[in-house]
Amino acid sequence: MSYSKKVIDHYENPRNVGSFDASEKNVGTGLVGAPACGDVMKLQIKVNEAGIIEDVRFKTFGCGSAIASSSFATEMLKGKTLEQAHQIKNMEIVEALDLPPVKIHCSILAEDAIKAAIADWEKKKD
Amino acid sequence: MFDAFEIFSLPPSYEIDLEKLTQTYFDLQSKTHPDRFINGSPRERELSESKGADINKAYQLLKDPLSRAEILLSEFKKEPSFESLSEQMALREELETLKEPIQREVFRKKVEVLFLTKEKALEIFFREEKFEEAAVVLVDLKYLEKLREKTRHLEEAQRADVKVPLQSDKKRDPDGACAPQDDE
Repeated sequence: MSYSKKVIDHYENPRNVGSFDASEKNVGTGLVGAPACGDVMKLQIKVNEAGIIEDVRFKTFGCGSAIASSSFATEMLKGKTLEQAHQIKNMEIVEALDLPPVKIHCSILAEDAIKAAIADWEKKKD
Repeated sequence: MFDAFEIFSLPPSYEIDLEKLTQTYFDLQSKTHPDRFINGSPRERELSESKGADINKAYQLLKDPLSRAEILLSEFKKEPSFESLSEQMALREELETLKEPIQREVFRKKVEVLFLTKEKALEIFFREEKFEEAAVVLVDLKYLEKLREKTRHLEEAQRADVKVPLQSDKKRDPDGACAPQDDE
């Protein structure tokens, strides 16, 4: 199976790797995984007072496509409102990274991580 | 439908006699071996080949405790819990910080013990027919199995004196150990 240049680029130079303090009020943390692949994905968003995602961090242990999908997701999220972030569909990641059919589940995992991070932020706000 | 237990005429059960399983495997294989149908019709030959493939697949699934458990728990499939994911994330982050061979060796043993403990728990849950609990432990075990593979690879690489960075290993196949699932 050959990977697209974009996957390899994100795999070799992942963007926004790291962590925020999950206890901070303006941070939302999403933690998702696929046990069959051994994938664990953490994605964190930092939301400003205008409701815009100011900064994003991720940490993924898993295959190249899972790392690339979450790395790409962090780039997509920066500067978006929560509403826009919520609209992100895994197929956008599939198309952008040219993921093969057997790797679509990696993009679904990234979408789940985005949704989980937003849900966590919203839960904290209440 | 493909039923691994049925192919081996076994009741669906986590406890299994591995020696007997292997014996049955050889018996079944010799009965369906294509060489026996060398003078048979093309249909017979085709059938023996596909049966042989099913027998192989069933044997691989049944002899591995985790895949055996997975068949039995298909109705109880669990999404990994937050606790379970946090634990797995923490273990992988810890491994990343370990640079010395001795530290990695200690870590590998810790993962080994954790795996064996949870495997024992799985066995007990099956015996007590606590399938919900068994499914939760199975998720952890699947993660730990991957981590175990990784620690072994690291150790092999270390022995060969090759440097293996963890997160951004460029030499490793980016496909990693992530195999496509049957249900995809």
